[in-house]
Amino acid sequence: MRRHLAPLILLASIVVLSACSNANAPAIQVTEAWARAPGSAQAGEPAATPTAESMAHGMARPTGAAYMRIRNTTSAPDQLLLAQSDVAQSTEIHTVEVKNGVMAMRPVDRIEIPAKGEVVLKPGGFHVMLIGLTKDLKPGDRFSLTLHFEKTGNIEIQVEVRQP
Amino acid sequence: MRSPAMKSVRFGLAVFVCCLALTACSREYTLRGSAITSPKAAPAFTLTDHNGQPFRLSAQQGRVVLVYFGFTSCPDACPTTLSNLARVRRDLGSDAARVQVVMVSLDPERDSAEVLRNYVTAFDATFLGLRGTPEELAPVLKAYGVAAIKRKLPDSALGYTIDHTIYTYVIDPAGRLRETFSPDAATADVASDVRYLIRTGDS
Repeated sequence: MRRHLAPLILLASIVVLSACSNANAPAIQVTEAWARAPGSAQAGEPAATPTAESMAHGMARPTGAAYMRIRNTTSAPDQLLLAQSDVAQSTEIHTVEVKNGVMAMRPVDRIEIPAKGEVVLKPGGFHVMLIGLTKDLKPGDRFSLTLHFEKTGNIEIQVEVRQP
Repeated sequence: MRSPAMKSVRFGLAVFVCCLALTACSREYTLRGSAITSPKAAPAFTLTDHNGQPFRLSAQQGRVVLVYFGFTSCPDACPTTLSNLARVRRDLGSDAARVQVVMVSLDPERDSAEVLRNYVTAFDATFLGLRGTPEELAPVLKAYGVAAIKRKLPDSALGYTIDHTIYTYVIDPAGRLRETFSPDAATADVASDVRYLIRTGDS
């Protein structure tokens, strides 16, 4: 009897372990990632060269925004803390609020993704702002964006550039 | 063999159809944005376009002018609006020639002519970005009731942002301010109104 127990325990452990590392359901799923990059250079035109004037104000390059659907499949909330991409000098998480027809954009520290829930980053709400685009982004282009979540860690996603 | 009763039913029907047709003809078109009840001349202004040319609103008579106040580092309402207005122009077909979309920059400090040109023409090659000195802009914003409040963002690479009114102002071919649209307005509604104003707004 004892002799049979050891392999059984081993088998059970393997089953439990593989359940834990089940790759079928990643903790965080990001889909429908797209970006708008208006003001990137026009087709056939070189990228905007910074002028003395624009340099003086630190805004030599245009900005863009990335949107996506973030789904949390776990039973604990997670937080999107940071985003990073080499297409922009700086990347921040922002939201916008409209009050009496006046829109205000504000950086946020984090976006909470509720347990078994989702948050959609979309025009009129949360977005990842790409400040100071270092690449000329044209509709159809794709670039990678790394999202840093408090619990899940880093997730690299591909973002499709759409017509502004 | 037609009975008199049948005849009167037919007559009644004919009258009914005529009435229907008449009501359809006399039905007033209702603007689909926030219409201004007694339209007046849109406040005049002269600013500088992104090509360095003066832009006089008064010189636009005969065209529908869609005026939006925004800035190029605006992440959301500005691109949404300009993107929708670009679609409106595409949907208008040949009528698009009688529409001018302008974005008045609320951030002349950062929006150089070049930055502004690259930005607005990314949406539609005919869009014009307008600039003015703070002294030139102030009376225009006041006249249109546009709020533009500069907010410092010490923790952001942007340094500052501008809280701002996000309406599109619709000026008819006779130069009257007729209505405003919010950024989430259906492009079909905007196109429908623009088409109506092109046909009727001259007088």
